[in-house]
Amino acid sequence: MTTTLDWERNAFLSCACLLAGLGLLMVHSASMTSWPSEYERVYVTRHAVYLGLGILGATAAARISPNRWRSLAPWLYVLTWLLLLAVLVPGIGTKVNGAQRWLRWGQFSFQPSELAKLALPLYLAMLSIPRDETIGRATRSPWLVLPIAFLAPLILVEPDLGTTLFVCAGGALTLWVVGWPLRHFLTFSAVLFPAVAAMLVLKPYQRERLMDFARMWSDWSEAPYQLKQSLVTLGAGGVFGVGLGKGSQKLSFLPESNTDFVVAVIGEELGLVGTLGLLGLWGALYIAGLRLLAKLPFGSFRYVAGFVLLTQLVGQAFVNVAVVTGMVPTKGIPHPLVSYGGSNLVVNLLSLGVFWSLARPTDNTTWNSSGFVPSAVVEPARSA
Amino acid sequence: MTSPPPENVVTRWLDPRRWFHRVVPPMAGNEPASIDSPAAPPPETFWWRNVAAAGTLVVAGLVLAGRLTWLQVVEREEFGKRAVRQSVVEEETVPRPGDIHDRAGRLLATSVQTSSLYIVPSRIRERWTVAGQLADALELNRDSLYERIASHRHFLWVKRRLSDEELKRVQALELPAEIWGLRAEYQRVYPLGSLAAHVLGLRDVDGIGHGGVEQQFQEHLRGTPGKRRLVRDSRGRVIELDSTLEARARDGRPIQLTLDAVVQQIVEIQLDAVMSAWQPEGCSAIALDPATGQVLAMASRPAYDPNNPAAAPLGGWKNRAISAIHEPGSTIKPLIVAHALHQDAIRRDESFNCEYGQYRMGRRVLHDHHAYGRLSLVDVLVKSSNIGMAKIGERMTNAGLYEATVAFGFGRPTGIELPGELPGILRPLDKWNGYSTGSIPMGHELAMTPLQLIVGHAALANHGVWQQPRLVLPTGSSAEDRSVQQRVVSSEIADWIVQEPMTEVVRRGTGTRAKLSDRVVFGKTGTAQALTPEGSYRSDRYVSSFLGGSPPENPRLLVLVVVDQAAEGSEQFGGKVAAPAVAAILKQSLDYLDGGSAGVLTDRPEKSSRR
Repeated sequence: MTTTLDWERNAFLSCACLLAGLGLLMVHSASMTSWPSEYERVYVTRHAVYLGLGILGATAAARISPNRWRSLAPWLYVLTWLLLLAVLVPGIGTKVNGAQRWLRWGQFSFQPSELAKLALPLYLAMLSIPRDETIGRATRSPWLVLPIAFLAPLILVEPDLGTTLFVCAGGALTLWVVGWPLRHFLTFSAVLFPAVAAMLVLKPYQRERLMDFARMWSDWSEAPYQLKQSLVTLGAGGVFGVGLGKGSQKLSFLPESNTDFVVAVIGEELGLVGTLGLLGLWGALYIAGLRLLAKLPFGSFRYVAGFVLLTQLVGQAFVNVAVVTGMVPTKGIPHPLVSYGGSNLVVNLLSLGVFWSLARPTDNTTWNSSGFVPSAVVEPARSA
Repeated sequence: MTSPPPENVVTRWLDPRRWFHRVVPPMAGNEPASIDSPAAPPPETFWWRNVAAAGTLVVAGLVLAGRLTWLQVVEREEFGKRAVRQSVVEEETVPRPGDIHDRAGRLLATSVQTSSLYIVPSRIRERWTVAGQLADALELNRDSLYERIASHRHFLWVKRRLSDEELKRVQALELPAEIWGLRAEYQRVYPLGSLAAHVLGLRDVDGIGHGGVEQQFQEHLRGTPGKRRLVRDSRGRVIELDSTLEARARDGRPIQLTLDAVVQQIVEIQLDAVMSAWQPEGCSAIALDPATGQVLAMASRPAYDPNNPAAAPLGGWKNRAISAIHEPGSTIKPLIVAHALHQDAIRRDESFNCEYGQYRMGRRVLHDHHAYGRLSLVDVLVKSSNIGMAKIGERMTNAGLYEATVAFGFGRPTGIELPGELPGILRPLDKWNGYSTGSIPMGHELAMTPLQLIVGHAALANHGVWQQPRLVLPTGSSAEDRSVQQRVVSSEIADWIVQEPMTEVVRRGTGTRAKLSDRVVFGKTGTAQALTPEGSYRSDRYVSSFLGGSPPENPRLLVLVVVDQAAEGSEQFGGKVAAPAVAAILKQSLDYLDGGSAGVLTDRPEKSSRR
């Protein structure tokens, strides 16, 4: 049975695959080093393994029904919370460059704060919207802020300011979409802004980073080394780029060229065509996703959670591009699906899978290789 | 709900509600029951929130697209240049400077390859340890080396031109290979030590000549540095060598001087003897072949060792032969007499009343050292009578005297191939007065370098033809081989002056100390009061000079020794201080030149090899 959903579904899947494929290609290219080493093969192999794991996870997530996701949400949240706690326990969490963010098993490591990006919106949507209801009857209690308040400090103390802000933004977006009163937003902003400001004053390293960033706008050559190299790398590509694999900046001048700054490498090798193409892919994915959501009952749990997960994913891509182009001072936000990165890639693919599940035409359809198939209830004929 | 919009594709897409809510009838089982309840607002109340969130994202995407376009199109030029600048380095490859030889091909200056030690500070982990090891091996200051390592990134010279022992000690440290390296550089070596140091000058670490021939022939000797482009990474490692843009270094060419190292050595030994005997402030000597104007030796004291320039004494850098000026005193007299004869102002057989030692010229009273009555023209020179010369001056008048000084090249540089030659002082004729008529003929009121003085005399020894002195041996072909020549007086006059009065000066006059048993020497003494830095005379110090040559018939060698401000002895007459040195130089040099190895001067080589 062919429905009108087909093109949106195809477009959505195509964009996701193109992005992941571009990621694999660029991780390979950006992992080259100036001196012969096996890094390029090591990185691309690991990336492929994570990609495979992520696709398996996404497929499994897509097969779980939306209602099951709703009931899983609290458990996912608790799991995330425990993992975040475990990271902070010495001996369990792994410390790299002074930050304790990873859990490690042998070759593979996992960053629980990534999981928070998935768990928090699901949990908040589940808490506020009653089962089988829409946001019309949503709970709008100020206590909805508590799930965020329990989670965020654990990420903040790792320390990982960038991810903390991002997770909080995801939570805030969920509350915004479920219709949380504006006065609550105002109240919590009034509490949070002084706290953030105080932290910037008290932590010289964060303040220094901000000052550097501010200086950059008057004279770009004053920019921090990494950002300067990122701009140079982008600019050197011009409109059509120097050619795939031929970039020279990634060889040594641009740090983190295959992770957070992979977009700069795309800019050098594929030019403006490549970078605008990347934005275009995300735009197309977003539009296709919104079109899929538009078929759902407005304001339902599925709608809200799907909207937040989708917006969050595209938002992360844009924040990363903003960092790479020197418009936002934060660091540590990889480009979803494209950057090399274990748990980030897996969780992003997982949230695509969750979105795929939530965006089913009805609660009772399941997904198989030929599309959404009604399992119990047949959709009423529209012509009637 | 609202009435469904017309089923037009465009309006369907433009209606924002369709993005967030299906306008088609709700599905079974999902009818919003909440609408019935007055407490629950319809979910559509919150559409705008989704529109705001998604709209913000879309706007952000457009801003980013604009920013990317700006960076990659508008600023592309600058970033592209920067990317090239930080990865491409142009490196100079050093040419080997040319050697300097004397006229017989003896090596005066050459270049040897040495190793210079550099390190790459950014690759050093334990700066303090490395600084300590290197400082111990090379006898450097540990703290300052550490500071230098800390303040450099990609490249730092630790020490240039290591000695063999230093090189061994550094290699024995067995430092990690990626943090250090040796680069071949050329070190200038002067095999004969301080010999002719002032003529040669110096060549520094970077191959730049300072002073002397090294500076004068910088382009010729230095060669052309080559260039190559290296592509390197952020840690300074070379990734790629751009061979298309490689320009090979072209080595410097050798140069052959007119100097003869043996004559130079003879001259310098004599100067050193003068220095220790009389303790003067300085002295200088020049030996040249009057027939060709070629300088066989040029030396100045105090001197320095170009292999160890740091130990140079005060004033040691100055080449007095071309850059110290003094009044010539009596040494100039033969030149004035020759030109007076040339101008027909006097005759050879004339005699002059020397007024018994006192002669009033206007308000000025001139004195001779001894009282003479009538003196022949020859004796005026032999006795070096000031009064006799003053009378000749009166005959010539100021205009004639001026013509004579100009004719012998005073007041302008001789044009020898050395930097820093001074022109001396010859005031313009309109500044001259009655005093000048008496002063100029006895070598006062004008000042010159030793080189100017000997070149003036060389015109007489060269049968009346003035010619530019030279320091570079002619190759026999090029146009520059022809030196500037100018007949000043007839050969008859010149030969007479040399063979009669100047020979008599040595035989029985003021220059008897220059007499040699086996050779006939001609010459002229000179003594003038030294000048203070302000230009006035010093009563206690003298500049003594003696100019001599041999043989008178066809002079092969002319030697001038000038002793500046001799501090010892009561009478610093040129005859006493400088004449013995000149005699010794003439004897030893001519013996050497006559001997087996000295065919160099008699049959002049057309082209003395090397080029």
